[in-house]
Amino acid sequence: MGQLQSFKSALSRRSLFGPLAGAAATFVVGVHFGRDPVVMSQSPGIDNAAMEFTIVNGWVLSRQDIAAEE
Amino acid sequence: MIFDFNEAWTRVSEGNYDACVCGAGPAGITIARKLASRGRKVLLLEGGGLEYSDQSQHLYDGKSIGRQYWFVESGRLRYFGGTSNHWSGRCSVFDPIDFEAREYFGMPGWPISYDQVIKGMEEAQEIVDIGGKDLSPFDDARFASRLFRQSGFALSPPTRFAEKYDAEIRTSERIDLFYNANLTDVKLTDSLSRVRGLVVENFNGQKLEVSAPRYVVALGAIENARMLLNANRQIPKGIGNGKGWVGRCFMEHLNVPIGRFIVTDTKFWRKEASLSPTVEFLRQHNIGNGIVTFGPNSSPQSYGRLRVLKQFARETGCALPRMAEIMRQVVDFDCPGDGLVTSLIEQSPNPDSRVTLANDTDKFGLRRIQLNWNVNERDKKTIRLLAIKTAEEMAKLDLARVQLAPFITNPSLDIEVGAHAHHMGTTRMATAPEFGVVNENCQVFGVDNLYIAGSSVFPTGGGCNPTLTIVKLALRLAEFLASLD
Repeated sequence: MGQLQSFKSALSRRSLFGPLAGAAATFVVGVHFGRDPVVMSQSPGIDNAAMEFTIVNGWVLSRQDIAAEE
Repeated sequence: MIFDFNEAWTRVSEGNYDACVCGAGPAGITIARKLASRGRKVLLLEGGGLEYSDQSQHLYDGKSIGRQYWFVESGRLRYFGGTSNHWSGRCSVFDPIDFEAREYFGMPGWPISYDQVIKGMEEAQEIVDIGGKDLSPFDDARFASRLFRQSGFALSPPTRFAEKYDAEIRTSERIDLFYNANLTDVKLTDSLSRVRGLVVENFNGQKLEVSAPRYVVALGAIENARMLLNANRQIPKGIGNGKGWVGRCFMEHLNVPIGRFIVTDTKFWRKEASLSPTVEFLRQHNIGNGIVTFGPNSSPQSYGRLRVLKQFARETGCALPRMAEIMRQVVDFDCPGDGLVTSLIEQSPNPDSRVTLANDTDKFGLRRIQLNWNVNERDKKTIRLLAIKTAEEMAKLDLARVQLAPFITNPSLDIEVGAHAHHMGTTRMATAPEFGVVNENCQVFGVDNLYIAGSSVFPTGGGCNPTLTIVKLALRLAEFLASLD
């Protein structure tokens, strides 16, 4: 299971509604990260030549997160 | 013994004191007790009463003319026990790197070493009731980070100094505490190189001059500077202010709401995690120290007839974060697995961040203060770098995912910087008067028998809560004074 999957699981764990919330969470994650995201590719004032992370709508995600989403 | 200066004000002249200590907060009480334990007779003066009063507290009123600052008056307490009366009790210690010359700050650092401050810390820990507690950073196999370590700290009960030491002082034959005794002037000898006496006034308008071989001003970082600046009858710029350093480099610990997070590894999050940067990280980026704290929310429980409805609203809201945002505008609730990211971040010493005198005066004719609290670009760099890198580390270790506040990721937005009511740095310690107000023994440059105690002497603030170090430095000063005779 990829890191984003565990991220989604964390969202779904927060509900009593189980599968319904899981689906909703997946949808929300998709909206957050997959549709019209605000991507910040360079952290301010930091040498990020070897940057392994991306900031999407304020969420700090690893490349594995993004890869799993794609 | 304890006396009310409003009534027994003439009695202060009867004592033959070895030292006069102004301010009965953690620093002043600690110095008085330590000197007494070394056989010295101490006059301890407290401007406020035994309990809180508006009359005393409003003497702290002042203006904030820089970045918005809420704690000019409310961040300190003016009565017996001082600000320990509302202290939260969190104790931690400076890191060794805090005592290195960090040239990127553009100001000299501490003229004393880490070892000089940390040595004998056990006694300070006993005073604040955390004896034997380990304050060092700790390793956690589940948090294998090269950039950050988990900060160590201990929680004092918290110690209320007046409550704890009232009986000891009351029965002491070596400490005379006078409360309602307001320091209103410092008189120097004709040579201006020694203090001749202190002018002390009660709330009934009666005043007299007290004298002792040595004097310690321990009124808090804002008030220490205010007193030196107001004592300007013989030296127009104020005592110890020959090079203009009194009041400068006022520092806080920056309190920035960095963002929120959701847990991805529930086994790790049994309690909050407080992260501090490693030495290598600080050296690489030339930034200040600090603590970024990840605090998981506990799951709230609803009660009453609306319990089912509230529970439904929470579960629905928590499952749909965007709905949660909307609902949080209507009702206040947390979701299990959510958490907030908060911070305590070192502010660099900045001469433009300063306490000066305003034109209006208090009941005793002393000019009130105005504070120009100033957060510079280096501080903003420290905030953003610590926020982003700790968030990255949480993702890398798959412990949590962090959503940063917009002002962290967007440099065009002003950072929401609050404070922790930690006043520091207005009479900084230095090797020479060109860089500060007091020397390594907390003696005011150029005035042989005048000493300053408290966090106003801190040249830098580190990434730690200051009270324990204030107490430790007070012990160090008392030992030094006792060694002079």
